[in-house]
Amino acid sequence: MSKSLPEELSVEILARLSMKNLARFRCVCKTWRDIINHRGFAKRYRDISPAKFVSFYDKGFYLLDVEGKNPGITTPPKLDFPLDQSMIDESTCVLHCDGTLCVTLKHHTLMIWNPSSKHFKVLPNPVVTFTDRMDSSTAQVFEFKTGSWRESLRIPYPDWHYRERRGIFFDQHLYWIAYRSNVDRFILSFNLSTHEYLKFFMLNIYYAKHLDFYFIFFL
Amino acid sequence: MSKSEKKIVLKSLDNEAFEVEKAVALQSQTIWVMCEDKCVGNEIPLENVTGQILAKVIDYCKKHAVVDGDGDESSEELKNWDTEFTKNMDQSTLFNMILAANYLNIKSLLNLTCQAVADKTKTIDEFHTFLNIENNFTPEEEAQICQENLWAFDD
Repeated sequence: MSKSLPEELSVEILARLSMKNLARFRCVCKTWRDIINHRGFAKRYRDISPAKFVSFYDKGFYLLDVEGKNPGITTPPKLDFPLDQSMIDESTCVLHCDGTLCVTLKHHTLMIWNPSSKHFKVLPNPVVTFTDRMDSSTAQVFEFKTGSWRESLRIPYPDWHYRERRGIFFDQHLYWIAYRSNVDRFILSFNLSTHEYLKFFMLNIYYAKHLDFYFIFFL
Repeated sequence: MSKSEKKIVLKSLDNEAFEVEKAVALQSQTIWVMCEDKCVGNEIPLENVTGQILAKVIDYCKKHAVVDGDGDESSEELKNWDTEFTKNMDQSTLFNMILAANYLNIKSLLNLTCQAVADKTKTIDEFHTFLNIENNFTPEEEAQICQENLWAFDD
């Protein structure tokens, strides 16, 4: 019998460790670091771990642990905000994807923050002219690989209205409902990898397989 | 649920034989497939599991077969039994239980044993039994990654 577990079983154990232990174990050797940093591992980890919610109110972030060993009867603990607290103001808005938060801060600053792993990154501002009109909007996509914003295609169908400008993010795509009247409407999706827009009739469902860590904003 | 009278014999690596009810043994997907294939008789040789470990696996399967059969026996009770079951196992037993659960393909037992290791592990050294450790970071890489994860070492 070999002296160590095959990798797929090691992954099963690592995926059940606390975030804190995981961060320690990441420092042990390259093999472990690579296993833990692998995208597939993050997914396995999320599948196994109990669900947690982050709540944002009164300019603070709080952790709600609803399925863990001590479900939330007590006051939820406040999370340590990694930047100066005064960067948060009334207009701060929080977007999220798989436990990673995108927080808009003062002076058009954007921060990507994972409260569990405590990793965060302040994004440089995209250099664009600010306009408030959807019809002249161009998508700016931030790519973590290159650490820079990339100008993408202009939003098609400029003469339509869009509900919820920030869109709904799901599985690598952003979705908006475009409308001109109650009956005249469709769903517009934007693929964050291929930068392609697609138009759907309402109630169509579109599946995509790969997930990349991109964020998009219309400015 | 009617009790199946059919029994099968599981034979360990060190030739220890265990007679168990089929319903108990069939929680192992591996044994289930072997039985489906009808390529084995009443005796199933398990080449990767020692008698000592197999006895524990059978204990687990018996407990879980009974509870599943009775339908509504409290899941709380079963949880407590599971906790007690792994509580006093040493690292090397757990290690072999994980391998056995994986080989026999018993998902819930694999879950339980992996979770037990994760819960018991407080330091990296304790994990040594389970994973190959070879520190192949360059000093610069090591300094950088430790800096990034500094928060995890603060107690």
